[in-house]
Amino acid sequence: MTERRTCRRCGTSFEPTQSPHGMCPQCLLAAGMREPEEVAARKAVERAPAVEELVPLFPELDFEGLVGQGGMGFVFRARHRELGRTVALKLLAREHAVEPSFAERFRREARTLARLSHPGIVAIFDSGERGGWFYLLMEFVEGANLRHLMKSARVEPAQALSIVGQVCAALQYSHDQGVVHRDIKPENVLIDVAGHVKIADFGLARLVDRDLGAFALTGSHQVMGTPHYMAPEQWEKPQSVDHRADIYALGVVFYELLTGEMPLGRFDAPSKRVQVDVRLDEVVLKALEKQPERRYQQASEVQSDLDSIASSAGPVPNDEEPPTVASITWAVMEGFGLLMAFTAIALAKVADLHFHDQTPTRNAYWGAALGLGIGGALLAFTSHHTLGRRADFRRASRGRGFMWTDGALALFGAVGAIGLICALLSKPNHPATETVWLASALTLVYAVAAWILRQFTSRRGARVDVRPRASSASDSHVHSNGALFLFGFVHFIGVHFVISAAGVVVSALVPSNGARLRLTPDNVSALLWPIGLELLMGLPCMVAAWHVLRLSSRTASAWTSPTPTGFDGALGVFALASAGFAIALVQLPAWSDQWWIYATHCALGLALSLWFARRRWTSRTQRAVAA
Amino acid sequence: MTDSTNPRAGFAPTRWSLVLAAGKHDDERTRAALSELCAAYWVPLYVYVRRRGHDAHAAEDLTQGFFARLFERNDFAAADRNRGRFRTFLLAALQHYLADERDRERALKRGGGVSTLSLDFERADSQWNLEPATDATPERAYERRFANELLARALARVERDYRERGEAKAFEVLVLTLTAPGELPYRELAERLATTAGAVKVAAHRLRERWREALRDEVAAIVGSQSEVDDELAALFAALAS
Repeated sequence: MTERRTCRRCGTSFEPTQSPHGMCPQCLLAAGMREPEEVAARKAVERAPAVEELVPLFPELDFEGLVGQGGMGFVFRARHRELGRTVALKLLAREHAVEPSFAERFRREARTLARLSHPGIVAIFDSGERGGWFYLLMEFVEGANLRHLMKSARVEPAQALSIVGQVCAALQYSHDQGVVHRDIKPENVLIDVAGHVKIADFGLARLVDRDLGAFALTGSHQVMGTPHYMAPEQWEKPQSVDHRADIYALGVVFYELLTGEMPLGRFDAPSKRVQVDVRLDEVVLKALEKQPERRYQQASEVQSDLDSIASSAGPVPNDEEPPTVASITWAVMEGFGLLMAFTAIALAKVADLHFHDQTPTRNAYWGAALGLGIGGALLAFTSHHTLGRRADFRRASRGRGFMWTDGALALFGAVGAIGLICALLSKPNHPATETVWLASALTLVYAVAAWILRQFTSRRGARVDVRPRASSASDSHVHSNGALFLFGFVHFIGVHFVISAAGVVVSALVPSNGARLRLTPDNVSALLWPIGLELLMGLPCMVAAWHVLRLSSRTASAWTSPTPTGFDGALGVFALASAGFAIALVQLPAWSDQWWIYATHCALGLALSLWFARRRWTSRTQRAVAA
Repeated sequence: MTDSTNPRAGFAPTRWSLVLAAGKHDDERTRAALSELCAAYWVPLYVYVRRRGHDAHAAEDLTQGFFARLFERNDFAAADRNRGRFRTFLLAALQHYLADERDRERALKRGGGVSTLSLDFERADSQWNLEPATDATPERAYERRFANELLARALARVERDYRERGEAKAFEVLVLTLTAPGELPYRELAERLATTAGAVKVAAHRLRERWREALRDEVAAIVGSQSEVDDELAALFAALAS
């Protein structure tokens, strides 16, 4: 016996020693199978009849062209002279009609189809055989099929719910009539311009599904359409398939709508992949049960479950899992690190105020502040970084209800408030009092700012579809909004501080008024204060903004969105501010002695804005070209 | 091995279709086509016989005997267009043979002691030993083995092409991209091939195209007509999915 391996991609288990090059045979075969649409198109191109050929056969129709082709046959758009309406003429591929019994079976199936009368099912007007072509004359649906819809735009969960609900209604109706579709897939789900769903090709799968006859083998039964949408029993016992196979296929379609992926092998629940209501997981997984007995027994059951989810008060994001102890620890560490950093800023500022004439004392304070600041910033940074990668934290911070993150924030705010009160009550003009006062104020400001940001993230994040599909063409639903603007702005403020620090360095190194600054210990320590302060304020701003942005993939996707987003707003503001600053410089002679600091700042700010703008512009045009 | 048929031609006769078309007329070409097919796909049959509970010796005898009788009695003439493909025909014929054989005395010399095909039982046996004795029925084991044989043949064909063009190394490096498109870092592969990531991307795409062609060719050889290729692919896919 040998070691078996489970393929990471498709979940099949196989023996590497047996398969070519140790690769998963299933995936290898799949790589060689053409895309189903491509196959169909190929087949169709080979045998599509010319319109001229059809005109004498269908004198009542004015043909408007070939609009679709698939494994089943071809669809023409035409205008019916008598009915005065646009119709779709479906010709079944001739290869299906080789058996002598086909004509009889076709008539039987067509009658069944004609009996189906439901707004969610494409209506049949006429059927028969002309010139060797079996045909169905059907209602023409102006719109697109679900496959096209998924390719061209992201389907929001709310949209997916509505589509699946409508499919359920149509399926329940047809199942009540005793008709099983057998080939539910996105290609067969049409959506008209008004957003109504109509299912096409009812029962045709059975019609063109041939029998293998005497040599029938288990598992060798041929497959119509895409294998992935077929229920397990459809592979194994194709003869005994009932309406529950449709429910399985519906589950696959639903999963694909939500996640953009197929539920292959050992797949994740939808909410593990994207931000959707956890209760949808149960619905999808129950529809995808391998055993028909454990599946939903009726399409209407799926619908009623979906209805109850959609109508229940408020969205329920996937944030009910309690946070792990590790996450809480990291959150506390982050708060502690920030507190250290704020205290360092306050200490440095206060030391500068009180001991500016006692260089050794001041330097000692600054040394302590620098150590405290760097240590605190590092602690805060690493904690925040780790926290941002923890799934439970990400989920929680996108949630809407009161959570432990709120608790941590409240605690932080309380520390700041108490510090402030203590500072106000104690002796004024004492260095320690002032340090506490400043640090508390900063802490309080941070807590309030973080709370505001969280309100934005939770409002944006709750139940939004954050499917990370970089390749999907249109992100037009990502509109410009205040949250994005705020995040982008905080980030650029951070950049501003960092540039200022760089400006100080440049001003120290470049000669001003003909004399170059001498780098004595005193001068260096005098320079370190502004540089350190700017960096201490700038870097956390940048890092925090980036991390908050990355918490929600939706805001991340706004970065690459082809439509204007809050980023663009922030970018514009920053570019304008830089330009305004440059003009002020020229106009105000009082600033002339600090020329280099501000000039460097403005030049860098402008350059950076332009660079970001250019990057966004190019990525946008690339997308436009690709589309 | 005859030259590969061009899948785009659409009407080029495939080898199994040649056998089907020949019907009862026993000519050299048909015989050659059939023996070539049997030589390619006898391991799955052997696996099936073993899985039915015969020991290695008996299974060797039975497999050889089956082929002997197949050629002797021109049994393949019984296969007609309506009765399926080579894969199903082969198994059905073997099942008939095994049923007949059970009735006969086992000591009878099978196939007159003459080896019809040169079969490497050692290889087959090593594969049999590796075959999991799990849930699979003999039929399933046959189908799965058959699919694997076919994949191996198709891949060997691609590999030969690459080697003939002096690109054996490229094949070796790129072959894993077939089952993991876009997952392997192109830059790393490019380093190993001393080329650029862009070139690797193109080469991987080309290999994929070539693989599709080779696989379709290989499948085309065992079905009655080009139009059945997709269905057979789907059936093989199903066999592997279990």
